[in-house]
Amino acid sequence: MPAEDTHAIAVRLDELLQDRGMTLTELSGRIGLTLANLSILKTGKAKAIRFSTLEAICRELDCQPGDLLTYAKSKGDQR
Amino acid sequence: MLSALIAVFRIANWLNWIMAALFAFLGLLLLIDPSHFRDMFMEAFTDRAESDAVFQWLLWSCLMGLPVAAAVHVILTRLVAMIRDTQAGAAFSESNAKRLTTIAWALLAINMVDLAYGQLSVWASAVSGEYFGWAPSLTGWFTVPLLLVLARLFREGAAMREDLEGTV
Repeated sequence: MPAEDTHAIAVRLDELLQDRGMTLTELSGRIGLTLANLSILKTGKAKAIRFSTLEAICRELDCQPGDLLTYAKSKGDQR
Repeated sequence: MLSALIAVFRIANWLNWIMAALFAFLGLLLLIDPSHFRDMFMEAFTDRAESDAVFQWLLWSCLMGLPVAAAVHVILTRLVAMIRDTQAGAAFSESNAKRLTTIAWALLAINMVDLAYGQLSVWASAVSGEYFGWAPSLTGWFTVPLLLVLARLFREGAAMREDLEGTV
């Protein structure tokens, strides 16, 4: 089983929140996800994301899934 | 309910060791003063070979009780640990899978001893003419692979649970 921080999917939640001037706590309240879980997603420690979570984030941040998640070929390209 | 089950298993384990101690004590008496017991059996059995067979059966039965008690101890303590994990909300874990595997091997050990005990009883019955009551049973043998499969399922469950923990 691969380690949780080795996948090549980068989560750009931080940038999206900055662009929208929204805090993680605010987003957490809007989409009904705990701050702890949202923090796990933000730091790239999540192993999987539910479609319902993705849908809620895209709805609240007015973005596409591709804006939130990007594929980086190597680990160094992720950040 | 689960707490009551823990108490039952703990009491069962105590009884298990008390019985093992009694068997060990009797086995020790048989080893220390075999002639006393042989003479005693001679009163019931006219033939020397018959009384010897009864003596051997009793001695080996006492000795076989010890590994069985150890195996039962392993099973009961692992069961208590599994119930505790379940109470804590972590039924599907790698440690519980390992415990189930251990229980399976302990049960296999009991089955092996039972088989040896069966052979001993059949031999003693044939020599002495006295029936020493043993019948083969497949239940225990079926339980071993069943527990190993269950352990595998627990491992899969633990992996799924771990994945789910990382899902947001």
